This record gives sequence, structure tokens and C-alpha cells, in this order.
Amino acid sequence: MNYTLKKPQDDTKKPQTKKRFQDVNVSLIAGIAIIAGLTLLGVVMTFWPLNNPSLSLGGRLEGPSARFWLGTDDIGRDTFTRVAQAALTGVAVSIAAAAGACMVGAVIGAFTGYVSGWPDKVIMRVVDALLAIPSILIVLILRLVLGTGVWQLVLALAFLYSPSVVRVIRSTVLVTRRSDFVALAEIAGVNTPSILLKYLLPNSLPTLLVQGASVGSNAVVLEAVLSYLGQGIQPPQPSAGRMLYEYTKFMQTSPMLLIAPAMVVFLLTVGWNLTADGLQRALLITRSGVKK
Amino acid sequence: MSVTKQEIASDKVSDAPELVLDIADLSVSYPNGFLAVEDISLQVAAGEIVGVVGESGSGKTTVGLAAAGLLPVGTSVDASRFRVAGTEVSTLKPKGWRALRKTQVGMVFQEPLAALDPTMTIGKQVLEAARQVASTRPEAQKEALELLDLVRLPEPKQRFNMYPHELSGGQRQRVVIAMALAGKPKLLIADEPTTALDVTIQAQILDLLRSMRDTLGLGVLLVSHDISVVSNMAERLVVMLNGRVVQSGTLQQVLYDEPEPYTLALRAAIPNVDAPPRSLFEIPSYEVN
Repeated sequence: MNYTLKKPQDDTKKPQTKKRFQDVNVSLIAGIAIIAGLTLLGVVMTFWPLNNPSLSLGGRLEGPSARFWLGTDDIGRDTFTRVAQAALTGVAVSIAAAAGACMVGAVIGAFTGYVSGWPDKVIMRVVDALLAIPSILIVLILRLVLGTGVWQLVLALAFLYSPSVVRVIRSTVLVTRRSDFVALAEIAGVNTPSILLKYLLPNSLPTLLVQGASVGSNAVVLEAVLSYLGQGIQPPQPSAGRMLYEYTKFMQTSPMLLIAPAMVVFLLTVGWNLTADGLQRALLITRSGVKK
Repeated sequence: MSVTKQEIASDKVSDAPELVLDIADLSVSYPNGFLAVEDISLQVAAGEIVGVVGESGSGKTTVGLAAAGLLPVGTSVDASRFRVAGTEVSTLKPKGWRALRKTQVGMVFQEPLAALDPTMTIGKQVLEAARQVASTRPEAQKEALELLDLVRLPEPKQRFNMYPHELSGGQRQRVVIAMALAGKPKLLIADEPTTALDVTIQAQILDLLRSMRDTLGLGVLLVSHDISVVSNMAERLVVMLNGRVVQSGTLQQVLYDEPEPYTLALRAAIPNVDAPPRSLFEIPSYEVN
């Protein structure tokens, strides 16, 4: 048999790595784009409004027109500008509530998971109790106690959602604390706060981000519900829930007054959920190697 | 059991090479009631490598964890004498363990990737360990670099800011050893330190451990299922089975002069490249009574 050495191939040219469509994290991009888009719209409409939303510039219940893109409400205010501002409020409240819940929940969750023993038992029973009470009830009580401002609303939402974060973070910490690197840190004499902040929390960050995004989605809906009940954002500041409540009576004559704020709630919820989904795909599944 | 300072001091004078680990009649049972270790005794002197061999479930890892105070909460530890670097530890509280381990005990685990935090650069991890004993931050920084140099991590300065996944297995294990040495310990517990590494890297890491023992005068407790690794390293050998010590003594005694049947069986289970092909030797199951 005749055979020769294979000629060395010119491998200086790197093979083109074409990104396949399924490798693109569509959920994450779409989710962040929706939230960012609504934020941008809200910022523009807050600082450079098409029409001053607090003034009656048009006629009563006008339909969509070149000046009033989504028409006007019962006292002649521009619906589009109001809805855009409501969207910004929704984004801001949900981000602040999610961030607050994550901060409080992560610290408590990491502590209770790592220290265990009786502090863990006490904290987890309190968490169980809080999770057992309907959320709307807790928030209404907190609103009565704290007052009706926007910051109080954020505080109430953050408090409401921190138990779920405690749960999730505790469960990841329970796994991480058994790992060899935590044991090595303990042998080296690293103290408990450092182990919590430098070793356990960074390893829980992916889970925390995913949970935070899903808290954001829940906060959007609950904020709308509260505003609908008159316990959320207070008029004259526009909010989607409040608009849904006020304009119900015009459902037959000017449906746009209801569709627009409903779309805001819908888009924000979808945006947050897609973000949570995309983060989960990017951070959690890849890490454990399940992806693809 | 209470031990006065005088007793500890007198011990140090009487025992010619200082015993860094001194265990007599140690029994460990886990919270679920499983008796993992029963009445075992072993000593490690400074500058000595003692190998603990045995099959899976023989309790060898439990001995290593007990010597580092890392047994799970609720595990009952009972011993007539259990000293780490001269301190009686059988009644030590977690806080006391923490203080003792910081300067007296180092530990190397089996899987170097699991022993390093994936979210932290290796430099920071070594630094974190070094900071516990150094007085100032810059000093710890210097110490961390020196440690990485000591364990012969190539180009430690460049690798200081790398994450564990960017290093090879052998390099990772070197980092773990550097962390173990940060507190200038007297006792190093190496639990299967080479099992996750391939053979050539294995030899390098074992060589490193041996040279650390020589230069730093460490007492090393080498826990392994691999009797060939241990016989290359250890001066003394402890053979364990079902939580008990089958045999202990010098390497020569245990392996060649007067081996127990179980030790012989362990030896026979090592495949030999030069021997004519045969089916692998199966260790008969023994019962301890």
C-alpha cells in the first residue's frame, strides 16, 4: 500500500464561528429592550412632553389625532403622555422594589442559610408566615402604617417580596456552604461576615438576579392593583392602575383610554418575565451545563 | 476533659519530635447514627508523612475531617486523647477550632476545582487566607505572592488575577496548597490530593508536598485509597477497614515485613504492567469483629 504524509493544512485562518440563532439569548434581549424602551419613552415624555399632561389642552374624550396620538381623557388631558409617564413610574417602582427585596432578602437568606441552628428556624418560620398571608393584605396594612407616598409604596413592596428572596438565596447558600472552598476559607480563619459577603453571596448572584427579575414582574402587577384600589400611586401622578380605575366608565365610548394603560402593565410584565427567563438561561442553566 | 497548659508544655518537652497530631481511641459517629470511625489511634510527628489507606467507606476521610474540625454539626466525637499541635481538641468549641486551624492546620482536598471559589480570582483567595495571619494588607499581598511562588505556580504575578477555570488542574492544586500553607500550619491534611489529577501531574504535586514537608517541617496526614501513591510518600502507614485500624507502623513493617491479610489484598489489587495478563484481583470483603 502506498501512503504519504498528509500535507499540513493552513490553519492560520480561524474557522468562521457563525452565531446560530438558538445561541442568541432572545428572551434576555427582548425583555431588556422592552423595559429600556418604556423607560426611554417615559423619560422623554416626562422631560419633553408632547402635551402637558396636567392641563386640559384638548376637548373631552377626543379620539386619536395628530396632536393627541391616543386621544384625550374626560377632562381633555393627553392620554399618550400620561401613559408614557405611568410606564416610567411602573419601571421605577418595580426596579426599586426588586432591588430592595433582593438586598434585604439576600443578606437575611445568606445569613440564615449559613448560620443555621435556631436563628435559621426562627427566621424561616417568620418567612413561612409572611408567605402564607395574601400579599395584597400585607401591602394594604403596610400602606396604612407607612403612609401613601411613592417611597412608602416601594418600601412596602420590597418588604413584601423579600421573604421569597430569603427562601431562594437560603437554598443556594445551603448548597454552597458545603463546598470545599468554603471549608478551606473556614480553615484559613476567614470570619463569618466575610464568608457571607465574599464567598456565599457572589455564588448566589445568578439566582439572585433571576429572582429579582421575577420580583420586578410581580411588583408591576401589584402596583397596578394597588393603584386601582386607590392605595398605590396617588393622583395627579399618572399610573396605569389608577387610569384603569378612572376610565372604566368610558370603556364603550373611548376604549383607547383603557387599552393604553393595560398595554403598559402587559408590556412591563412581559418585559420582566422575559428578562427573568433570559437571565435564567444565560446564568443558571449554562453553569450547570444543561444548556443545548 | 480538661488539659492544663503545663501538661501541654511538658508534652512538648518529652516528645522528641513534636507530635502535631496525636489521636488515641477516637470514635466518630455521624448525626444519623452511623459509626464511621471506631477506636482508632494514630500519631503524626512534625516533619513526617503518615499515610492513611483503605477502601471507600473505611473512614479515612472522616479521620482527616475530624483532625481539621470539619465534621458536620451534631457529629459525636469521642477520644481518650485527641491533640492537634499540642492542643486538646475533643471538647473544643467552633470558635476555638477556628483560632486553632488558622495557624496550625492546613487542608488540601481531592478536587481542586471544587476547592476554589469560581467567583473569585485565585490571587484574592490566597490573599484572603494570608490576611487572616498578616497584620497589614500590603503585607498580606506580598505574602500571597510569595506563597504562590513557594508552591511553584508558574508566573504567579500574571496568574494572580486569573479565575480558577483559567488554570490547569495541577496549577489549581498548587493554589490550594498555597492557601493551605498561608497560616504556616504545623499539620497538613491532604485528602486524596492527587486523585483528580492525571499521573504526571500527580507526581509533580506529590513532589511539591514532599518538598514542603522538607522545607517547612510540616507533619502531613496523607489520606488516599491509592496504596502506591502512599507508599511513595509516607514514612508510616495506617491501614483502615470499616472504621477500624487494621494495621499501622512503618512503611516497611506494614507493606513488607509483617503485612496483615487485608494489607496483602490491597497490595495484590495494584495491577502490574509487567505481569502476564490476568483478570484484576478482587479484594475479598472482610468483616470486622
